[in-house]
Amino acid sequence: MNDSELNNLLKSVPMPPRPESYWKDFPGRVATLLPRPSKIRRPAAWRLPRLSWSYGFALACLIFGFGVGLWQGRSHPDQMTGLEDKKVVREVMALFPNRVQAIIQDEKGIHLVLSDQPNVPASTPIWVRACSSHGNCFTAVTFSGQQLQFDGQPVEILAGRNGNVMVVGTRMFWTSEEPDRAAEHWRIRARTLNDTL
Amino acid sequence: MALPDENKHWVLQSQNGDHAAFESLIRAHQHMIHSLTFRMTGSLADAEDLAQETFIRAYQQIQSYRGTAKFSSWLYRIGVNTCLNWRQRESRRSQIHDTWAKSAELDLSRLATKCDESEHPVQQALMKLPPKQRAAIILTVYDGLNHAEAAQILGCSETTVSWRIFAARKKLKQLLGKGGKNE
Repeated sequence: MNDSELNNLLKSVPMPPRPESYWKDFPGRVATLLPRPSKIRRPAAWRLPRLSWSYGFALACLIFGFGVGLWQGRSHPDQMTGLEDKKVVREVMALFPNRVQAIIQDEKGIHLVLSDQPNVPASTPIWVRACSSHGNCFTAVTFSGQQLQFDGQPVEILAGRNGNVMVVGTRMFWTSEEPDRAAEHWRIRARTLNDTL
Repeated sequence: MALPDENKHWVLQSQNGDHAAFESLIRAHQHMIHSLTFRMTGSLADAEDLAQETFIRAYQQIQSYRGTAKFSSWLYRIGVNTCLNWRQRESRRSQIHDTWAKSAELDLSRLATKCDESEHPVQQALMKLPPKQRAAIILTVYDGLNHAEAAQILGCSETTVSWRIFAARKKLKQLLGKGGKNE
């Protein structure tokens, strides 16, 4: 079977019909479930200071937490640092539920990549460390299906069923099954954190 | 499907809290969203629930719609995410049910199966794909989007979409091919 035959076969399946009254009633039924206008989140002026205070406070706690983690890491080089501290990662995820796309640590510090909306689906957390041939390194905790930037290029991080990790970009492919294979000019290490987060 | 200008007007009105305008948007896009949710779930009842959830989420997020993309693409993306989240919820729920059933020593094989609507072998084969591969097939085959457009909706790279489609086609051909078995 070629692709075209498969497409035709897939398209041959009809949608089970619904009565006309269903299509007539459905919009009205949904409309009755919509929140009242006052409940819709709007960027109202009076709310902004309160929001910025709460987010500011949360970020200050985060920075403090990371600072302590990093300091402890430096004091005890054998211990795990920053992003390998599962507790810190868990706390970040709890602070921004369904919004954390990635937590990235590079030479400039730690950055959070958050979604505008709480719509990041729950998926396998993945720890990634990548170093370029120029010596630029970063570590990230992200989630299967999310993207990271490698030299400005979007690269997707995926967890396989057997716990392996794949790094897929337009010009690169790396898998934890062959960890020593260089992807472009990057050396990568990655593993899932599923059992520990 | 509504004209783009009509959509724009209804979106603006909806952003001002006008339920009637949003109802018009639902009316204009309900077939598209139901088609997506049915292909993703294989069940008419689940498709209805997910279509409803998609529109409610869209209304809750409508302030964030800036008009840079087509409204239908924006809405479709919410629908796809709703379906993918539903798969995860369902999987968790099914695990809980399994645990409960085992502890109650129930014979799971005697429990009623739910998807009488997905008896069609093609839909059954679609349901055997991982949800993200299924979404990629639905977007490109049923909705005719190219890989770049599908990547935008799925929030991943074109390469990933291509890979998912490749893997999905391979599996579908095995399941639906002459020699394949679709048990």
